[in-house]
This record gives sequence, structure tokens and C-alpha cells, in this order.
Amino acid sequence: MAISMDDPQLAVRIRAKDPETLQGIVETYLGQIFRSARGAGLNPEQAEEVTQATFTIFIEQASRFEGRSHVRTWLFGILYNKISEERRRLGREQRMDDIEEVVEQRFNASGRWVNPPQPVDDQLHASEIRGLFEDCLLAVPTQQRMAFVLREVENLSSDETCKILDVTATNLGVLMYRVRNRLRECLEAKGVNKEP
Amino acid sequence: MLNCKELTHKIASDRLPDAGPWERFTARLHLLMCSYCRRYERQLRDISSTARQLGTDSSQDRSRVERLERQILDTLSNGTKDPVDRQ
Repeated sequence: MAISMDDPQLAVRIRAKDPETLQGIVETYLGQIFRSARGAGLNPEQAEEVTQATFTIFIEQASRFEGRSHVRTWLFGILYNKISEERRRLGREQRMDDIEEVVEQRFNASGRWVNPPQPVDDQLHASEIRGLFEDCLLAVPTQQRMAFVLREVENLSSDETCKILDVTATNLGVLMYRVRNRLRECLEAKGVNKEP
Repeated sequence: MLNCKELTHKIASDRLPDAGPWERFTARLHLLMCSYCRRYERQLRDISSTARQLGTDSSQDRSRVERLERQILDTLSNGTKDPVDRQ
């Protein structure tokens, strides 16, 4: 069924819990929400659980949808809160983030490379790199990982990503800087980048 | 002109597109001259494209998504007529 997510009457129908509208939203976004949960480092079972929770909350709270942000933004916001909650509950969240110091050490006082990036080992297959990449992504704190998934995998705009994560544009820049450097450093340490 | 540390910082935090024309020009110039910064930028682009592939090739997840969708749509057709707002 085709319902337009940009229809100005959409918010009214969501608030009224119009079955066709809610069904259309489930059909449109469920796959994307599940994929993002996977991208955020959850295994298939956890991703399923958290996706289900996201849509359950969405349907329960539909009568409070004000329509000030896009319905997708709202769904991703619920997903993000659920994932953060889960991580905190499991005590998986690292407090320390030393990536800035790690990057700092690659440059001298005048900002030139002293420890430059290593060239990529072209013997490695894309599938091997993907496996290593997933391992590296798992080690990244949730907020950074979510920023990365929303921007790089789902291709959402910075504005929408900021709304979902409830951060400023400057904060998002910091998150992207950290996650990209973490991934780059991690891949290099795993030997993806190697001096020939 | 930006040094390597400043340039890579702007690249990694997506701040280059918003920079002024002069800064963008000198950034391009720097990348032309500096193979390390070029390599760094290239690696970040590779990381993006690997990430995009992760999003597309999860065929084994498809049946899960379909099952989950049916499940939610089922509860939807049974549950939404209930006007009581559960908290």
C-alpha cells in the first residue's frame, strides 16, 4: 500500500491510529529499522527484539505524535533510545574514549604526519575486510556507531541525524571524527593497511 | 594553509564542504601535494563504501524482517481498535 510520508494530513491520521496509515508505516520502515539495528552492532535476535519494541512503542504513543519531525526521524529516535538503554543495562558502554590521543600521536607539533596511515593491503578480499570491519564497528561506543550508521549506511542528512541522536551539528562532527578514526585505526591494527 | 592534522580533522568531521572557497581550494591543493593525507582521505572513503555494502547484503535477514512485519501487522489489526491508551 502506498501512503505518502510527506502528506500534511499524515500526523492527524497517525494520532487517530488509523490502521491503514500505521500499517503503511510499518511496511515502509520496518526493514530499514531492522537493518540499522544490525548495523549498530546487534545480532539478528537482538535486532529483532529491538525493532519489535520500537514499533510497539511507536503504535502505543501514536496518539502523541505531533508531526513536528518526520515519522522516520521519530522511529529512529525510539530505536536509538532502545539500543542505548539495552547497552547501559548490559554495562557494555565504555566511558573512556582515547581516540583523540591516538590520532594526536600521529602528528608532530607542527601538525605534520610522523606516523602516517599505512597503505591498504591489496591482497585482502572484500569479504575479509567486511568481517574485520564488523569486528571494529562492535568496539565503537553506541552513540558514535549510531551516528555512523545513520549517516553512512542509511544516508540520512546531518539535520535528521542530529534530531535522532539529540545532538548539535558540532557534536555530530565530533562523533563522525571519532568513529571514522576509530574504524581506520582498528582496521590498520588488524592488518588491513600494511606496508608492502 | 591547513596543516595535515587540521586538514584530516576537517575531512573526518565533515567540515570541509562548509568551509569557504579559499579553504576548500587550499585543501585540494594540499591533497594534491601530500600523499599521506590523500591516503587518509581515500581510506575514509573506503570505510564509507564498506559500510554501505553492509547495509545491502544481508539476505539471510530478509526472512526475519518479513516474519517480524507479519507479526506486527497482526497485532496492529487486533489492537488498534482498543481506545485505551496503555502507559
